[in-house]
Amino acid sequence: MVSTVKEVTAPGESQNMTTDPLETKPISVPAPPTENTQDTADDHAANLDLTQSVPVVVPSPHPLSRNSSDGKTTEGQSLSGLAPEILLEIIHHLDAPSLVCLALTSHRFYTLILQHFQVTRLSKLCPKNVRAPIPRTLRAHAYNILAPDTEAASKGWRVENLTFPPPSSTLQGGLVYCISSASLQRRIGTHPDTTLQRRIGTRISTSLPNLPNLPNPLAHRIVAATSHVRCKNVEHISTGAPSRAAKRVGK
Amino acid sequence: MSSENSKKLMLQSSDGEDITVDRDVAEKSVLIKNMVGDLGEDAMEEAIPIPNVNAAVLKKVIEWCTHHKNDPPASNEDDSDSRKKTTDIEEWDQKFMQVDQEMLFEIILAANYLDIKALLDVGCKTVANMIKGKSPEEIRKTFNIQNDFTPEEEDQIRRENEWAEE
Repeated sequence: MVSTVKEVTAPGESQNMTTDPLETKPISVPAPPTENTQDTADDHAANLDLTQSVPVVVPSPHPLSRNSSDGKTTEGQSLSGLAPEILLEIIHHLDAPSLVCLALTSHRFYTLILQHFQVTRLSKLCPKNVRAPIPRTLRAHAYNILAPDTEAASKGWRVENLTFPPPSSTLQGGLVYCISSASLQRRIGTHPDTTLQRRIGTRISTSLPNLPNLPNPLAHRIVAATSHVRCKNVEHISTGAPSRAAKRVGK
Repeated sequence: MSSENSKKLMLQSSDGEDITVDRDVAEKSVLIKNMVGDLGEDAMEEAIPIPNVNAAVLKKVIEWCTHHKNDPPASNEDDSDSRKKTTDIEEWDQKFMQVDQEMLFEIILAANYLDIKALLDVGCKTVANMIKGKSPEEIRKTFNIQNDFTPEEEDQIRRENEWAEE
């Protein structure tokens, strides 16, 4: 790739424009990659003309270096008065829409942001439709959790709210719910952990109130597995990272 | 000089006020740490001038350094871009940064001058949080930024960035 250097300036500034106390001098900015210069009709955002070679107002290296004779700082108490390196520190904490909004406040921020990210258009930083409604897809999974004797002990389903903002997909939120069959209800009745038994058993008895509690020593394992799957799924949904448990129940 | 006194440093603010501070607190500042390293014992006996920071700001910086004196040094991973993208600020720091804008920027400048990276980071995050979610006009009002775009440019901007004005 050929690297060229352009003189870039903020729009609207003329050759004889001086802004005291800031000094005026041309800025050389490395030209962005070739693709940045191939703007199509679909390109949008702030497409101000940056090809003119005129001076640009550049702040001095550091406001604190320009102290008055009594040692007190005369500038730097406002955002505009901060040195470029500090502004860049702030800019690094901003997301793309906020970057564009800050760039649109004044020439200084506009130029600073374009130069720092080496783009000629704000649309390269953030697409115009960034705040448009995001396509959403609901995906549901139905699954069975098998007891050790291969009997279906629990049935559940998982509903995921998937969003697909370009260029990457994000798993944004979701819901996992699980119901248990009558056989699981019977097994829970013998769980040695009474707290767990009461908690799980109560929830199940809400939908299945009249089932008798039958002894089964494997019940606690099944309940633990169910609970484990649910927790893993919630974690999977909140982080967007696929978990082994989620893959297992998704099958 | 007693061992207790040897752990204290005297900092002199730009307005001439002397502020005594624990050495380990003061050395959260890389600038002061290097100064003390260069001056040796002299640094313990004479006030170290901090010509770019006034007493009010210096006291705030010392307050922050005192609270964070036991924090582990930042690792290289903390400098990663993903880390920078976050604007999470711990509760104490949020309250610490609840000052007027002038003081906030003074703290940021002082942190930059004194080379206290963590404090600079907190200050910049605070400002970033003040910018986030605001339209350009709201940002101008918040930070008293003069709109120096020409009417033609502004018209063009409005048309092309209507989403940002919402």
